[in-house]
Amino acid sequence: MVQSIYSFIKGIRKVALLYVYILPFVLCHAASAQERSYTAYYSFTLPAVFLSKEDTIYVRKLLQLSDSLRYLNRDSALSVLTIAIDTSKRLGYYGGVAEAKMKYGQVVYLGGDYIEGKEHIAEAYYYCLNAGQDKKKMLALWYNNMSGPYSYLGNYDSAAALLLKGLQIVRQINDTSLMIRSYINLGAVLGNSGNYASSLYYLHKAEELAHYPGYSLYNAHLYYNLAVSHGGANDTLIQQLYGHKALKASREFRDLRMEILSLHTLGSNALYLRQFDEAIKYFEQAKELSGDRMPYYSFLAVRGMSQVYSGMNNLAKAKSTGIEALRLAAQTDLVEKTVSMQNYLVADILHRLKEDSAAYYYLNEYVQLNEKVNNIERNKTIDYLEVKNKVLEKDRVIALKELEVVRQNMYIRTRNTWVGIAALGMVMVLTVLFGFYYRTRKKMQLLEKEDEIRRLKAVMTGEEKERSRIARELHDGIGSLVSAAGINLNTLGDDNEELVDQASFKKTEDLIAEISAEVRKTAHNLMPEILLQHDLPEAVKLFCSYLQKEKRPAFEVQVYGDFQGLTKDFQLAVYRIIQELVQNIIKHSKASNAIVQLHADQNLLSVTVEDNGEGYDPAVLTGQGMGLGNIDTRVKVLNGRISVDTGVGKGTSVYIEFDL
Amino acid sequence: MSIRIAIADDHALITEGLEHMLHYSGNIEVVATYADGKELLGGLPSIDIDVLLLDISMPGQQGDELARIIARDFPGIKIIALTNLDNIYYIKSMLQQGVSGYILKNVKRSVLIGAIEHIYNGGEFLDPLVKERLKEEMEVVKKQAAYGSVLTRREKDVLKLIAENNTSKEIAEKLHLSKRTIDHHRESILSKMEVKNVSALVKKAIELGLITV
Repeated sequence: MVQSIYSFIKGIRKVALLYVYILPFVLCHAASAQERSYTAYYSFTLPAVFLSKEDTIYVRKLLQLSDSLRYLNRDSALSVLTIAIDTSKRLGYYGGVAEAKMKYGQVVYLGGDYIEGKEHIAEAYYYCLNAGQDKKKMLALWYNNMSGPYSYLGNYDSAAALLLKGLQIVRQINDTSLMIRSYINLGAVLGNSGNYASSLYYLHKAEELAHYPGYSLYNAHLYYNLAVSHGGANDTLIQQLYGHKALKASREFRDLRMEILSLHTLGSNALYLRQFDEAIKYFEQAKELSGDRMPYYSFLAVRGMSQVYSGMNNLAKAKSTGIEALRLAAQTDLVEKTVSMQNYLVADILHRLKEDSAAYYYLNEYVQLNEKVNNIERNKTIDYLEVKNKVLEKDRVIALKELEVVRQNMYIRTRNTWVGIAALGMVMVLTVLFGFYYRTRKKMQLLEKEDEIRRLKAVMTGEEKERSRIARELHDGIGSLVSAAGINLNTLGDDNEELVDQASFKKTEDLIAEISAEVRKTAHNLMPEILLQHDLPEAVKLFCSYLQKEKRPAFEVQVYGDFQGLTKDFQLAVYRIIQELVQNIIKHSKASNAIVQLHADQNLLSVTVEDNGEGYDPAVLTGQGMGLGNIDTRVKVLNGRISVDTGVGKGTSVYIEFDL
Repeated sequence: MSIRIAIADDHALITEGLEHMLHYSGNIEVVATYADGKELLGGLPSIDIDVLLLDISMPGQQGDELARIIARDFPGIKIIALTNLDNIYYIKSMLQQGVSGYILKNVKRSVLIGAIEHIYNGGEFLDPLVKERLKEEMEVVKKQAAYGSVLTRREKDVLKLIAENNTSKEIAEKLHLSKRTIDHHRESILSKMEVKNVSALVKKAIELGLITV
């Protein structure tokens, strides 16, 4: 019985040894932790205008984080991706949802749940379609991702079909990076199906593109798959070459998983070439890198070592490493051919060590495990077929569900837009109201100011009226009486010539003349009749001529322009200002010369009153005293502007202008 | 044959005083007296006079205005302004309207009678004080014609900046004033310097030593 078993074992021994060479091809997925250019790529293809850059960057960071976690801490990677999905949904960042969902699916199916993983990836499809301007790229990614679970389930035809469909889109958008990835995946899938020639065709296509600078990102995957594919095609030397390249690239990009896999392919290659020392070296390195974190890879490494020792006929070491390998396999809970075959390998070693009972135990383990594996494989196929139907139904349900989600999102977005519009409207209404309020207040202030001006004007008009009345009384009453007295006195003198020679007669005559002049001057000061009858410049000239007679500063009156069109009220008001300025010069300046200049053009009426007197410190006399306060008010009432240029010893120049 | 005169003055006392004054001259007859321009213009067509003694400041139409109308409508009447206004403005204004005499009210009887007779005979008469005022005025005009008008300080500042080739806008910025104000000054400067453009202005300003090169 035992013999017959051994003979059976011997028959399949070659198969078992061969099995170790063919490591699984590795698909290179949409995201690997080393995709440094990824963020850069997306930063200028953000799909929706509503997205704030910070938020999408946050999502991208989450996606990157999940990449670095996926092989080390699956659960953390999944929870990070869940956050990324929720955040992206909230933002309406469908590209982000799609990507996160695809990654979620990858992490799930790489953990062995192919069907569930596939479902997650399938869900991403509808988000890919809504990814705005990224739609095509996302769809290409989706086809690549979708091929993964099919490939792992051994459905290589479907996987290849999906990849070819993806490649079609990639060619449309002319995305070299994505094209390289598609070729690599296609090569891997075809390699897995044993079609090495086709596999190498696509892998070499990828290699051509990867030569261009900036596309070395997937070199580790590319070279590794090339190595495995060449190994499968029995080109062992070329396998070795690409194995080294893969090892170099994976180290360059700090891709631990690919480094381990590269070491495995090199180890297997060395074992095949019976370069046992080399092989041991590679497997030991692989074991060291895998450590406790990746027990499956540790198992593969130690298994490789036991195969090498077995080949070297170092049966003691072959036994210890072989059993160690099984211990590591137990940790992974994996039930697969590699594990069952390892039991057979150990049985073979023990048999060679003549430890037959122990060998029998492992042989038994092998048989049982093999049965299990075969069952699982069978079940898997049945499951797959069954699930396939379910999935199709589920896909439809999911599609409807996702469609609903998209609709709802659209609805929410629309609602948000309306809320936004409403808020904007409110803001606008408030702005308008505030503007209105502000204007009204300003208007009120203006009205108040106008009121004040009107009040001042009324006061001034009242003053002017009163002055006018007094002036007329002076002129008509006292003035005419004095004139009459003068005429009568003259007549008296003419009639009585002896009176004329008397001093008192002459004195009386002079007095009457003086009274007459004084009355005229006072009347003029009170109300410049000449202004009312003629214009401002004449009134000013007259006023200044009265002053000149009294040995005051010599006033030079200069007039430019036409004053005829101006209202009498306005001219009178300006006259009063000039009067006051002139009085100031007489009272305070001690000037010898002064200029009064009037100038009217189409736009402005200006008054310049300037003297060469003492001047004053403008800091000391700020509008008070000197009558400037009063002048300021008068100027303001007339909407004019006043500026005073003075300084101690500098004289004073007052410039006033009014808009006409 | 006596000289027929009329008096227009709003003060009865004055009119009376004048009548009394002229009464002593057997040669002059006061035909009518009027208290304002309206009465005067209404009455003149119905009387025949040689000389009118016309006050300047009266209610309603003023003396200079009345003088113009009368000179136009009654060219045969000689007008004497009889007023206590000795201001050059009124003097010039009345003389422009073609009055033959300008006499102040504190005039002596003999002088007044002499003046009326002189004017009646085709002469002109100006009160000595009025002559003096006219002389003063002539001197002012002469002086201004000789030296030009004095620039104000602000105008000097603006002139300097104009000479430095600044635009009105630039000057406005430098002096913290509006462009309108600067244009306004520019205009008065051009008027004072009696030039039409900036290059002539600068040339003249240099000639007059107002700016240095």
